[in-house]
Amino acid sequence: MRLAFFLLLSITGFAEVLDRVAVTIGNQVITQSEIAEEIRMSAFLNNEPPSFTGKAKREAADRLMEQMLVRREMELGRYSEGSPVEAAAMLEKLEKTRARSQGEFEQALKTAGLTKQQLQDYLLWGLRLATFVDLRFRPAVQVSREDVETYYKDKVLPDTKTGKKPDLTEMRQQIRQALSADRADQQMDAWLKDARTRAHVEIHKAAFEDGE
Amino acid sequence: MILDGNNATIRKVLYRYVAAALLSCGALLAGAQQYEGKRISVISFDPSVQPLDPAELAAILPLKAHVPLKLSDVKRSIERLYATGRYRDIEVNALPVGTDQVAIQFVTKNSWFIGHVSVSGNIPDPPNPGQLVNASRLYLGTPFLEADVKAAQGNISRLLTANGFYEAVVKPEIEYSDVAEQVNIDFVITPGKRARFTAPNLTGDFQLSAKQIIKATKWKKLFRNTWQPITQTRVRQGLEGVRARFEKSDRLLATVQLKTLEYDKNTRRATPTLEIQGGPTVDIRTVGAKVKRKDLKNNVPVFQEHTVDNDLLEEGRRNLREEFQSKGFFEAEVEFKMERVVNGKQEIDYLINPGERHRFIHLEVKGNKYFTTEAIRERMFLLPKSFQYRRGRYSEVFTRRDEQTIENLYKSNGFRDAVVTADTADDYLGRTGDISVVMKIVEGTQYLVSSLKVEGDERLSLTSILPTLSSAPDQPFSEFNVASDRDTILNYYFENGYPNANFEYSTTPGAQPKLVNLQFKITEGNRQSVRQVITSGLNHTKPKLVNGRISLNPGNPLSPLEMSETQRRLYDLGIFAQVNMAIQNPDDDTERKYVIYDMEEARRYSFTAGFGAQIANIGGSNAANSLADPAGRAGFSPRVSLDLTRINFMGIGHTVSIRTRYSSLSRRALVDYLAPRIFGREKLDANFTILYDRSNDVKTFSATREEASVQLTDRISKSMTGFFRFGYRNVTVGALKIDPLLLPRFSQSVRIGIVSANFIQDRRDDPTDAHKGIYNTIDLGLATKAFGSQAGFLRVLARNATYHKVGKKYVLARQTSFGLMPSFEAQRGFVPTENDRDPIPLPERLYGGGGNSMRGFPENQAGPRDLRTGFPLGGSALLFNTTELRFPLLGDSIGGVLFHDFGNIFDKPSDISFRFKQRNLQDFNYMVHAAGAGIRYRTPIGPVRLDLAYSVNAPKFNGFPGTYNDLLSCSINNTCVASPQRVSRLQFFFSIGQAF
Repeated sequence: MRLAFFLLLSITGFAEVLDRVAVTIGNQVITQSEIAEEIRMSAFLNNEPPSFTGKAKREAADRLMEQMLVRREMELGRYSEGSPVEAAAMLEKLEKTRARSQGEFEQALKTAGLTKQQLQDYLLWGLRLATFVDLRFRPAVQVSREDVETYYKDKVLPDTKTGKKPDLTEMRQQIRQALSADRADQQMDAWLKDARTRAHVEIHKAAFEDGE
Repeated sequence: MILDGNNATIRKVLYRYVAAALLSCGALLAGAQQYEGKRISVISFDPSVQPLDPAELAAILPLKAHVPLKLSDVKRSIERLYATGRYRDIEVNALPVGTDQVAIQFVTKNSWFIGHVSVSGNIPDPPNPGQLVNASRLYLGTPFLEADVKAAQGNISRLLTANGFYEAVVKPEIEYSDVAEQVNIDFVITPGKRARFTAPNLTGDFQLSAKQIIKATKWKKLFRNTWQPITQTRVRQGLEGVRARFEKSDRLLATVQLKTLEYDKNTRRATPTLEIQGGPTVDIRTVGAKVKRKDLKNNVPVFQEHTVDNDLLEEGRRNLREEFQSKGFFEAEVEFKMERVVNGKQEIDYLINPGERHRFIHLEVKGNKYFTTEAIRERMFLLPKSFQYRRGRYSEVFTRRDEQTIENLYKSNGFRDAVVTADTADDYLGRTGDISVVMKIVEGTQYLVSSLKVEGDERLSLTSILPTLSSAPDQPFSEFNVASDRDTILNYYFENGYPNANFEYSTTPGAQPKLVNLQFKITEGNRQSVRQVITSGLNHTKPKLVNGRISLNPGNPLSPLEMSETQRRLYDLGIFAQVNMAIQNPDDDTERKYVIYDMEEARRYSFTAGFGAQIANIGGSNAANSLADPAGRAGFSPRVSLDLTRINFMGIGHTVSIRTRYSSLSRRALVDYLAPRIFGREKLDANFTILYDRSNDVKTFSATREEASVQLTDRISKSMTGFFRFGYRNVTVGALKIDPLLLPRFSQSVRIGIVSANFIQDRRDDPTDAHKGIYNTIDLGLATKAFGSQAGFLRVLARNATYHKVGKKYVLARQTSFGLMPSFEAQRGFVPTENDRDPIPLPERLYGGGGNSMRGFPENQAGPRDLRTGFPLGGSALLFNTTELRFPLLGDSIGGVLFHDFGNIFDKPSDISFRFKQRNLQDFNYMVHAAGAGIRYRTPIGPVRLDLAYSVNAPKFNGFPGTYNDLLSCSINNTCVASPQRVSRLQFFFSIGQAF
C-alpha cells in the first residue's frame, strides 16, 4: 500500500494535506480543519475577512479547546439534552427577525454555507449550554442588596446623561440579573482556566504555520 | 430564554461557542474540497507497520477504499485513530489519481508508553532504589513524554539532595523497546558524597537556648564533636525533636520550620536555618478530677496540632468526657475555660465534674421478633459488667452507636420504618449507681421483593450469579441489599472484561402493600480483552520462570481478578521486591489492551543476625565431670544466629541458605537448597540439607549430629501438608552422665538411615493463638539396615489438638500426644542390662517434658533415668495430655490460663501406665500430673507466655553426690552411695506463643 502511494506520488508529483492533528486534549483531537473553520465562522459572525496567521490559528484553537472542555464536563455531568421543540421555536423567532420571508432566510443561510438543521442544532446546543451554566455556576453566585446598589451608583447613574434618573426599585431585578450573569461568567472563566491546567494538552506546531 | 437579550452570560457563551455547532457538519481545509466525492483508489499508512493490526484499522476507520471520499470521514478517521491512544500524531494526505480517483495516505507517529523504570549507580541507602523510582513519578503503562523525564530527573535530584547528596548527577538513559511501544528508562546516578549537618542558624523568638535546641535535633553526634550525615529522616526527626522539646516546656504553640539547608561545597556541609517561634507556654490543667498527663495528651488534640482553638478544645472536652464515661463515670461533665495570654503564658482549664461512679449492670433488648436477642447483642458495643469489664462498657456515644447499628440491621433486612431507642435508667433495682439500658425496637413492616427482572445482560450471562443475589423474590427488600447486588453484578462484569458496565434499578409497587417489584437494568458496554502480556525488569531471572506463572493469554477477558492472581503468583516466587501491574494506557478507546508486569528483583543475597535467650529449668553444668543437677535448674541460655541466604539461584527461583546458631545448649550449621514447585507442580517443593548440630538440650549427654537429608513438601490442601523425607546421619555422643558400665555402648557413634513421612493437618483459626479448630500431626519413620542404618526401629508420633469456644470469651484447648518407637534391629554390641533395656541409641530415643509437652517437668526431663546418676535416658513410648482453659483477664491484651497436664515418657510401649504413684526410686513408668496457671500478653507475633506449674507426683530418683570421676572410683570399689533427689514440683516457663 505504501509502495502504491509512493508510485503514485512519483507519477503525479504532489500530495496535499487533507487534515492533521493540531491540538490534543487527553484522548481527544482538534484537527487543523476545525481550526480553519473556526476562523471562518468567527470572521463571518464579525463581518470581517478571515485571517489564517499562526496567531489567529492559536486563538481559534484556544476557543475550540474551551469548547471541548465544556463538552467533556457536560458529558460527565449528564446535563440536560435540551428540548428540540424549544430550539425549533427559537429558530422560527430568529427567522422572523432576520428575514422578510422564509426563502430570504434560507438564501442567507446558503450564502453562509449553512443549513437550517445545522442552525437548529446550534440552538439546541445553546440551550444545553444555558442549562449547564445555570446548573454548574449559577448556584454559587450570590448578589447582595449592597452589590445591586453599588452597581446602580457606579454604573447606571453615570451612564444616565439626561432626563429622569432611573428608579432603583424598578431596575433592581434587571441589575441583579446582569450581575448574576456576569459573575457566573467569571466563574466559568475560572473553571475553564482550571480545567485547562488539569487537562493534558499538546500542541502540534506543524498545524499552526501561517497560511490557509 | 437564550435570545431574549437579557442574559449576558448566555449571550457571551453563545457567541463564544457559536462555531462549535457549526463545525459538526465537517470542516474542510482550503483545496481539500476538490477531493470530495472522488473514489478512493487506495489507503496506505506510513510507516507501514502500525501499532494496530490491519483488521483493527479496517474496523476503526470510516474511510474505505473503492468508495467515494467524504471529507467529514477524514476528520472522524483522525479522531478515532487518536482515541485508540496508540498514536501521537496523524496527518492525512491526498494524491489525485487520474481525474476521478484519490489515493489516501495516513502518516502517523506512534505513542510511547512508560515501561520499566530503574535506577543504577552505587547509591548509599537512604534513599533506596524503590524510593528513587517512586520519586520519578513515571508510572507504568502511562503515555511517555520527554518532558516527564526531565521532571523525573528533577524529582530524583531533589530526593537525593534531601538526603544529603548535593553533588549527585542524574542522567536518564532511554531505551525504546520493540515490544508494545514501551520505553524503559534507567536513571544513572552518580551520588557523590553525602553531606553532613553543621551548626544550625536559629532565627525567630525561640525562647530556649541554642544549645537546648541543637541537642533536641540530634544532628550532632553524642560524645563526639562531629555532625551526623544528612538524611531526609534525620531532618524530619530533628524538627520533630525540637517541637517535642518545646512541648516538654509547655510551649504547645511553638512553630519550627526549616527555612533553608545551605550547602557549602568546600566543606561538604549543609547549614540548616530554622525559623522558630517559641510562643507562650500553654498550661492545660484539669480541675475537679485528676487526669494523667499521658491521658490528657491523648485526649486533647492541642498537643498534636500545635495550635489552640475552640474546635480543638471542644474535641478535647468530648474526649475527656468519653474517657470518664468509659471508666464508669457515666454522668461526667466536662467544660473548658481558656484564659488570654498574660506574660507569655496561657492557661486552659478543663473543669471536670465526674459525678458518681456507676456500674452498667443490665442490658435488655425488647420488641425484637425478626432477630434473636443474641444476634442483636453480638453487634452491640454496650456490655454490662463482667469479669473482663468490671464496670461494664457504657457511654452515651456507644449507646447512640448501638441504636444506629440495630436500626441499620433492620433496615438492611427490609424493615424500612424500624425505630430503635435506648432507655437508660440509673439506680437500677434500687442500687445506687447501677445503670440499666433497655433497647426498645419497633420493627415496623418488612418489605419483600415480589419479583426481580434483570434486563440488559445480553453479552454476558448472569445465570451463575443470579441465585447469589440478595434481592431475590420473597427476600427482604432494602437499598442495602440492592447496593450489595449492584456490587455483585458489576464485579462480575468487571471480572469478565466489562469495566464500563453500568447498573440502574427501579421499583414498582407489588400486588400487596408490603411487596415491591424490582427491576435491574444493566448497560454492559464493550468487552475488553488482553492483547498481549508484557513483562519487564528481569535481569537475572529466566523469563520461563515468570511466563509459567502468567495465566492471562491474548484474547482472554481483561479480568482484574486474574491479573491480581498472576501478580500474587509472581510475588509468591519470593524473588521480587516489587511486581507492578498495569494496563497500558487504560483509558484509550481500544478493546484489546496490553497487560504489563514490571518486576523489581529483590536483592539476591541477604544476611540476617539474630540474638535471643532462653530462661527456664535448663541449667546445670555441661562439663563432662559434673553430675550435679540431674533434674536441671533454672538457667539462662543466650543465643546468636547468623543466616546467609541467596535467592533466585541460577535465575530459576531456587534458594540456597546457610544458617548457623550458637548457644550454650546448641551449636548448629545448616546448608539448605530449596527447589520450589518441582516437576511443574505448584504445591511440591524439594529441600536438600546438610546439617551439623552439637546439642546439650538433654542434660545426659552432648550429641553431635552430621546429617544429609532430602525432603519433599507437598501442600496437599489448604489445611493439609505432607513431608516425605530421607535422612542419613552419623550421631556421636559425648560427656555421658550415665552408669560407667553403659559407656562402651553409648559412647560409640552410630549411623542412622531413616525414611519418614509427616502429615500436618491445621484447621486452626489462628496458628499463634487458636480459638477454634483442630491441629493433627502424624510422623512415621522407619530406620533399618536397608537404608544403611546401624539400628533398626520404627517411629510413630501422633498429636491431636482441638480448640473449642466456651461461651464468647473462653477457649477450652486440649492436646494429646502419643508416640512409639519399637526396635527390631539392635545396634551391634547391644546387651540388655537392668539399667538399660532399650536397644535404640540414646540420641534417637523419645524425650519429653517442658513448656510444650508436659509442664510438670523441665525440658526433656520426663521418663526413665539412669539409676546411678539420675540423668534422663529417654524411652520408646510417649503419652502426654494437656488441657487448658484460656480466658480474658484484663482488657483485650492480657489473658489467663488454667491448665492440667499429665503424661510421661516410658521405657517401652508395654510400660505405658496411668498409675498415679511412683512405686520406688527405680520406677519411672507412671503418669505424672501437673496443674498450674499462666498469663498471656497479646503481641502481634503471638502471646507472650508465663506459666507456673505444680506437679503433685513429681518423680523421685537416685542421683550421685559427687563428680563423674568419683563415680568411676566408687564403681570399681562398689562403694557408691546414692543421693535421693526429686524433680522440682514447681516449674516455670517463659516464652512466646501458646503452649500448643
